[in-house]
Amino acid sequence: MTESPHEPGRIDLRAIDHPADDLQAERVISAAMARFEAGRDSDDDVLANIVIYTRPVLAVAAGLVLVATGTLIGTQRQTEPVEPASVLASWAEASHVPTNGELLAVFQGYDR
Amino acid sequence: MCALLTHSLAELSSYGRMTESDASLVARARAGDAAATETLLRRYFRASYIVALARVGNRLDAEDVCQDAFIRCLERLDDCREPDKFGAWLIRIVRNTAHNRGDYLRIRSAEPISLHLQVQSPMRADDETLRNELRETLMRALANLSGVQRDVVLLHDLEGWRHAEIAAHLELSEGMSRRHLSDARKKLRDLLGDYATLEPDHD
Repeated sequence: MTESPHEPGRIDLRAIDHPADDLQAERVISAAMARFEAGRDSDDDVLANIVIYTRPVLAVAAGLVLVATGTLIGTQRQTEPVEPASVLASWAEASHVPTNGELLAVFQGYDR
Repeated sequence: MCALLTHSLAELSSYGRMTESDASLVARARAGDAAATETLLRRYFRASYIVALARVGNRLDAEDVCQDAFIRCLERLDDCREPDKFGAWLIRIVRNTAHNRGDYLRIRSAEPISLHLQVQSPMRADDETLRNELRETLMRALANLSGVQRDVVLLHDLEGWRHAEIAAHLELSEGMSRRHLSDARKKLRDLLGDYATLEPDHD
């Protein structure tokens, strides 16, 4: 190590980075930018693949939702709620003692 | 005349690009402008490289650190909250990246310094082997400094930065930058003996 003749106090550390590599910055920056671009492209690919593979699944799911909705509407129509008062009247007329299940069905649990 | 005008305009445009602020370049880089990104990285390449070299101790690893840090920087460019301090932000990323590769330097720092056995005469400076030994010895000596001391002494004495620049990019006060430089030089003088005859800092 020698003291730089041009600036007093400065230590000559040039040996650390010798010989000078003029293309160093070019090399490192281009490599970094290329790797960054490649990573971004692969991210885009992953996103595209997710979209491609999830499309049929989404179609199936939409079909299932339609079927389920249709079934639900049909079931609701079939099980029109019966007025408990009229049922109780008919039981009284027929001297019918309702079972627990019948009571629950008429009163729909504890909602009424 | 027209050619002269075109040339002058090109020069003016080139000057404008040279002096374009970090904040403006960051904004353009965020919008996907590759030229702005390259300009930013080029502007801080040497500082990044020196900070990496100060930690990992050899050129190839320092280049790898820079490459990894640059990629990390580009991935997180939107997280740079103060684009006008892009340099300081990038150097922080470089330091963190280099930190993960610092084992090499820590191991070497435990080795004894034996410069006097290796450097017999400054006249033999052309000798490649001697130069390699000198480089090794300097790196060992630098390994005995703290990270920030290494950054400061390398940026100041190798890169020729002024304390104001060092302070801004290493997020220090100018006073601390001077102090780190002074401490670093003293330690190097103690370690390297006659080959480090130092004078007071005139910056």
